[in-house]
Amino acid sequence: MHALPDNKYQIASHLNAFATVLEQSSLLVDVSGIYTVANRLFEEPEDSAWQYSCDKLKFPVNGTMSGCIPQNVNFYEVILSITVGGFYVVENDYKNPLEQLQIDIEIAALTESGELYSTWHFDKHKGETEEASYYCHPEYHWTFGGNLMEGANRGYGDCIILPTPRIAYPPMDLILSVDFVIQNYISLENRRKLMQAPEYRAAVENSQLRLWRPYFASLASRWHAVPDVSFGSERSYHEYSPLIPFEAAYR
Amino acid sequence: MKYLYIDDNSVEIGKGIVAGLNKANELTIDFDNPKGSWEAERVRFSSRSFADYDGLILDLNLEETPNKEHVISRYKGSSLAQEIRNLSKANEIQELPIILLSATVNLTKFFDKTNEDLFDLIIERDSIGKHYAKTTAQLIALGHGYKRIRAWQKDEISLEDLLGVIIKPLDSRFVAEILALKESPTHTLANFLLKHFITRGGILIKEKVLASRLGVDIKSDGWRLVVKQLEPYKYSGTFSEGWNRWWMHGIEDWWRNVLKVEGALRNLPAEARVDAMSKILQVDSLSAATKSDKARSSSFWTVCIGSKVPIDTIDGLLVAGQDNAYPWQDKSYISVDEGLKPTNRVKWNQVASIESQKLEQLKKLYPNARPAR
Repeated sequence: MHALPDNKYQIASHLNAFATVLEQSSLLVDVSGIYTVANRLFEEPEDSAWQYSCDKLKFPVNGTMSGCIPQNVNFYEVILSITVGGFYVVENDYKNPLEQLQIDIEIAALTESGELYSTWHFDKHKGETEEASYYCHPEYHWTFGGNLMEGANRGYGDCIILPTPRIAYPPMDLILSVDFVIQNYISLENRRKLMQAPEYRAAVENSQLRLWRPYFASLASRWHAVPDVSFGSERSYHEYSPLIPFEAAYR
Repeated sequence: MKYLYIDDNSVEIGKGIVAGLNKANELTIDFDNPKGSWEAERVRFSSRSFADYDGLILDLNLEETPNKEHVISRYKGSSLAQEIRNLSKANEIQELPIILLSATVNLTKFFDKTNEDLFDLIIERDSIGKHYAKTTAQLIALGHGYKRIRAWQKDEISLEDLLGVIIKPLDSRFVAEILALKESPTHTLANFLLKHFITRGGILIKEKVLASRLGVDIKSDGWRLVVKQLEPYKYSGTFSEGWNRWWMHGIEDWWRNVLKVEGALRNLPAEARVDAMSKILQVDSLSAATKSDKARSSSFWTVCIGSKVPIDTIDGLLVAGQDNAYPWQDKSYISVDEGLKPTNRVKWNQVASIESQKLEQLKKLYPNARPAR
């Protein structure tokens, strides 16, 4: 696959096409937040970095899925919020694509006896912290729970929720995080048509190229040389560590 | 400003409304019956004296009562409005704002919705008594606004002057739309500005939404002081004399660069927003807006269009009929309480189909919060 020229117009135009095809799919209550992000990107100054925020995109889901606990959920909403900022891709020069990333997925459910709530939080590791030196903190990771759930002051039944494990996962932007929600929370029959749309696939592929290629190439370089590519730092796979368990000496 | 008001009712009946709307030195309304014949109306519109009017108010049903000459006018106010728009497109007469003023029952029964674009404003006569001052301000604003738009179309003033703002930070889709309409008839541009820019929030917001976004209980004493601080962001462009609005991008700029508060306005709960403003602006009688017990978030962003309480969009139910919105327009929501127990069916009819399941589930969850049978 060829590296595509990357600039704010690329990003904005994919976001716009993505928003259009999402709007037609009726999977979101209101898509205008995505259009606004795309539009504002056009107005960003020419620079080497980009950033945006998109809050509270609502995906309503009727019914439930097998394996849901408790079972009597009739309806839930998945609410996605993201703040992300990163660099433009330069061909054959792979580096950590993002400067900041925070994603919140809130799940708000309605049952006959009340409202239920849980959240997933996705983070980019922000450097050394007291805690980091004790528990594994991959560069990009999911946590179940997090500040939103703590702050909601609800009962969580007999569950215990720890901020660990922090599960490593490649970085995502708005397109990839919407794709994540759609693939994980929307049933196949409801999302099939959307995922076949060429605009959708092109947008996801472009984002995966920008964000996932450096991530996976960097990890792969641990065991395989990746020719014609520079990683910006000698032991680049460590950007995404500590994933590799026997490198404990690194930290 | 001078307006002409054409209604088939007698002068005695029309006098009440004229007196209510007139404002010394600012607005005078002349009352007249329809002429009884289409040809006579055309003559009237093409006359020198009609050209002196800054605006026109029309009743919808003109055939209920005969005029002073005992002739019944067998045409509707909307037909006259269409003819005026045709005449002005052909440059035979000058464009002017046209207002429809009619009894609610007539509007419901006889007014064809496809004619809405002919009118700058539609007023229900039954409730005008409660809104005289506001309506007068709007009529004056419409009169001035048409002149301003015409001046821009003739390149006598700039786009900055038309909107009263620096253009660069504005939503580029909105600017593109205005520029595309520059060569259109004045009333088309006026319609666009009034109906898709001023009265549909997004780029401009109204006071209740402003209070919601700043997290403030609009009834608190300190609110007036905050509004005063926001003078630089108040809309002063075309039609601003009749509609109080604020530039949303200006408010965001104020929050980030003038108050310099940590954290995006959108995600802060109301208490945190009010805390920050109280400290930085040194205002102490400011209270935070509170959320309903059925709402999850106090990061208010809009108001329920039914009950006007502040809500976060995640706690709102999207109202139906907004699929044709321009991308810069805010969507309208109702609160959960309003969905369960509607208080204002005039403002909203149904929730969007994508939200109907959620409403059904909420009704099951809160069976006691339903309207009494």
